[in-house]
Amino acid sequence: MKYTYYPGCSLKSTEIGYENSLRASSEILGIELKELPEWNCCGATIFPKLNYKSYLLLSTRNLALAESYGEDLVTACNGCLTALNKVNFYLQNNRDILEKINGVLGKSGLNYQGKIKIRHFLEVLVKDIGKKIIGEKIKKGIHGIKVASYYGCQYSRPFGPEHPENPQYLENLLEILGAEIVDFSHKTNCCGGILTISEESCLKLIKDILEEAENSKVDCIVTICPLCEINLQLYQKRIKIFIPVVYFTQLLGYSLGIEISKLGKEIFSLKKLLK
Amino acid sequence: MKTKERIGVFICHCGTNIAGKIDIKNLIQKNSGKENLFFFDYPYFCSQLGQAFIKEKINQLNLTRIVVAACSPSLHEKTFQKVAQEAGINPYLISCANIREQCSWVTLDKEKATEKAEKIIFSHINRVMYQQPLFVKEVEIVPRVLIIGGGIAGIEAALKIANAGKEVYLVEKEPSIGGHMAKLDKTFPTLDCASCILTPKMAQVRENKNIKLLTYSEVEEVSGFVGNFNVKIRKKARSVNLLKCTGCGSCIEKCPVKVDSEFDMGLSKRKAIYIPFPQAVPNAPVIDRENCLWFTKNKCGVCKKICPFSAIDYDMEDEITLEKFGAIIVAIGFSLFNPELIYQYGYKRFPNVFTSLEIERLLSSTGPTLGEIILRNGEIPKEVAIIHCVGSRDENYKSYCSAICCLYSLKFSYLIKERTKAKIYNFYIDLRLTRKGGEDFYNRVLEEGVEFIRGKPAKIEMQKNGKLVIECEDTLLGKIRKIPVDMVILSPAICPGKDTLSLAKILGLSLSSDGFFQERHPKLAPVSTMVEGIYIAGCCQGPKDIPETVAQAGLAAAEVISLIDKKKIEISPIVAELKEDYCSGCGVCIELCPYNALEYDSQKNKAKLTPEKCFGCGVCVSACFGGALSLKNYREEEILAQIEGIL
Amino acid sequence: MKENINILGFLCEWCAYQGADLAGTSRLNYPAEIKLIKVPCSGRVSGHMILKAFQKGADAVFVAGCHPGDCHFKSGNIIAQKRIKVIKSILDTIGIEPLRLDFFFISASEGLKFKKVAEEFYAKIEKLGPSKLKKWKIR
Repeated sequence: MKYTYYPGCSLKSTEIGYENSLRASSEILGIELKELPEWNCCGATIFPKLNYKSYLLLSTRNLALAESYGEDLVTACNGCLTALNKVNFYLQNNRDILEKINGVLGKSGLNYQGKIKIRHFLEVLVKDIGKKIIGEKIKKGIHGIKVASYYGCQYSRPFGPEHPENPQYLENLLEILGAEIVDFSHKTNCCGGILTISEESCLKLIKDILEEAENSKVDCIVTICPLCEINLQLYQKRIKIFIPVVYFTQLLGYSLGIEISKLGKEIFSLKKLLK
Repeated sequence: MKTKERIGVFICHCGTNIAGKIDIKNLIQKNSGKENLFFFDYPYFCSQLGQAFIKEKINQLNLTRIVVAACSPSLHEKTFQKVAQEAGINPYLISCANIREQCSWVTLDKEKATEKAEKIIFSHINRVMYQQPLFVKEVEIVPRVLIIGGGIAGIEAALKIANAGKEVYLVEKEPSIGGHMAKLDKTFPTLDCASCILTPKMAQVRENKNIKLLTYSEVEEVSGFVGNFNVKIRKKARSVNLLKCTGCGSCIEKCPVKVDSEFDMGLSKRKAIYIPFPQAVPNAPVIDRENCLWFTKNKCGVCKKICPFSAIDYDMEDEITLEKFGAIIVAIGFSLFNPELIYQYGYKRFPNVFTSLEIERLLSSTGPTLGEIILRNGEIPKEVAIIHCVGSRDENYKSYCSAICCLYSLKFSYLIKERTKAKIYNFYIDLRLTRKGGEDFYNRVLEEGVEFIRGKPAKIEMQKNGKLVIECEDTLLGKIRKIPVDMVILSPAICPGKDTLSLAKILGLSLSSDGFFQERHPKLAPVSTMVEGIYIAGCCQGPKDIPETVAQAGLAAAEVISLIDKKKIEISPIVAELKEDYCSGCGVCIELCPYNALEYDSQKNKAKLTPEKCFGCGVCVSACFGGALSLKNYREEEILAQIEGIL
Repeated sequence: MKENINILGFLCEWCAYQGADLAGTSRLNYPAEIKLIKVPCSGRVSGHMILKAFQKGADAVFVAGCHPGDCHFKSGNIIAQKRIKVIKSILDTIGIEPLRLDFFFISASEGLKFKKVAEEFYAKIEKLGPSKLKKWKIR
């Protein structure tokens, strides 16, 4: 299976562990991920508020590049997923704006026709690859590990392949790996995003999620977005609740037999349980 | 011009209204030589003398067709049609030329006005040449009424019509009449017991000799037209002989099968042979063949052995009956929105989230808890939340307001507080208390200490100890609140009854955008439909409370009684006509007819027209490529002649 | 000599025709060259009638029906509006400017609107001049 891969800025910098585990897992599962050449930052949630026109241009540039390669564009970051989908949707419904943008992009030889689909890597795993193939490749299950699936707020809203309030793909995947799924009521709650908006409100949101995870007595929280991961992990000292927060690709990679040292630092906090 | 016809052209002066602008004398003089055209003028043709004048001239000159050039046909067409008829000319062989409202009154220049009047008059002369004599058709009305649906609307209508001496067939899908109202405990705002006001009416239905009650029955096919509907009714096999059964209940006691009770909204169990509720009419059991051991596994058979009256009949089969009716009233009621669709509210995921109908059953003294409000584990709730507008006024589900939820939420607040002393919260968007006594009741409830929070809850979460935490923005306080309660009551939207779509197809009724039956006019004809002879009443037309339902049922009954009392119905002759030979069976006309007067005849591969259903709009005629369809009195030839004359 | 502009209007019995009557009762004036024909529903107006009108010397034709949702026969007015749109596109091919055919929503209480619509339409057609088809008028 072939896809064009859009890493986004976080996965190339501090969250390199996420990318490593993602790539390593894909290799074993036979997923070919070609990184989108010359991709640029998506602008995520803040940039559109600062300069909408530039944001449109930047995102469309990514989309135009992706379209030229033909495959579905796959990302592992909720922020990128939503930013690119928002622009895609907007352009598909405002052809006159698309024409104007194409006018500018044309100077670099790019043109966007509105045909690209942007998907989350989680969806690709569960829908395209599927239970059978993943199950076959599992070497070590993660039995007995109690997990809280945390999707973050932008995975299923406003765009997404699943029910906005009750997505299930992450639970489906973790079940295949053998984990014990704990019903996590905060699974689509917002993590607060960038703390530039209001430190107080964001910290409260993070506290709510961590508290719920603590009360549910889970061994770890599993995330699908680098920003959610950062938020839930970075402020644990301030909030004084300590729970391991790992990426789903790290648990996947571990189950597929990849060495922990190659999966990224986050999974180290689970080392004891995994042995 | 056909020389047989002798056309009288009567130009009215209308005092100075026409004569003051149009040079009638000159006009007549100019055209007096024309063959077979006879021109007359008179100050007021609509007057008694004027009309007599016309009759005189018709007889004198053996006129065969008439053109009256005067005011708008909307005013006096019928007058002159009557005059023609009295003088022996078919009333559809006249044409009214509007030379007042559309000529003399709107044209400044006299010369131009006269020229225009002449053109108008000649266009009608042209037209009347092509007009055909038409005859009003009289059809006898079958003096029997079909009412589909045995809830309060159907019961009310049935009683009113039966008491007026007409025969009524009341068809109800469930084994007993009573509908949703039988499930209610107390009704707002008087808090009188629903059963106490309903059961006497149900008994009256049973006793009334003019009402034939067909329960556990469904309408399968309807054809025909007003005054003459042919209906196929399926009487499902009850497996119990109603003539022998005394309602003793021995069969029910011994039945080993237990199934969720539909009447108790799944909160209790019933047997496979069961009476839906104690006051059921008819008070006889029915066997649920899908769960009965005899019918599924050929085992048991205890009820038949036990019955002292040999009333159980396993061999009973569905009975099909064909009847004719003069009018039909549809009163199939509503269904409740399924709150499972709103995942965040936890219905069916958390044990103590209930719908309003479920609470009605809990409140009822004959319900699963005999009137006690308790949680699933038997404990009495200390805090209860009532959430308004679950599914209503919501872009994602139903955009309309369900009319009754605010009222019954107040009722619940009062009754539950009275019985449990619990702290009650109402989460609302707006409070719609339009009924008499509504505001007073609200004040009373406020005095009792019930809290009203203006905000629609975002989600409900269940804590480990079973407490349900409601997260909501209190818009009046401007804060987000998390309120833990023991029990949550959802007020789901009132949706169209489950059979609305299938019944609409059977009857040829249209649905409005929200899925309820479409009324003919929202203000002046709320119970009539676009199909003459079929009426709707109650919640099947839109969400409403009991008083409004009863009012609509009464109106529908009045319409039906006045229809049937006419004994004969006059069908306007201005209807479509189909020439079969010209029809290619393309089906375009069938799609366009708003009254389903055109159907596809699969045997002949052509369209079939039921002229009695036609209202004469002509949309099908102008769409017919083959010229197979024409509209009487507005045939293509007539209008084309009019066009030629006017230009 | 300036040739007269002839405009033929088809009005539905239940709304537009009554609107025109109201214009009359209110003594509102509009050009005499506008002649009106009553039909039971604007949906009754066929392409044949419109083309015949142009053939017999009309410089312009309009059809007026009830406002959406008010049609006495449920939705004949909507069908009529769609039909007029289609016929407009055909007119071009036979040398008649599509502007010469139009559809209006006029209710029974809109006497003034009828006058305005009639006058505006007349002015528009006056600018266009007589229809080319007129010289082929078959009497």
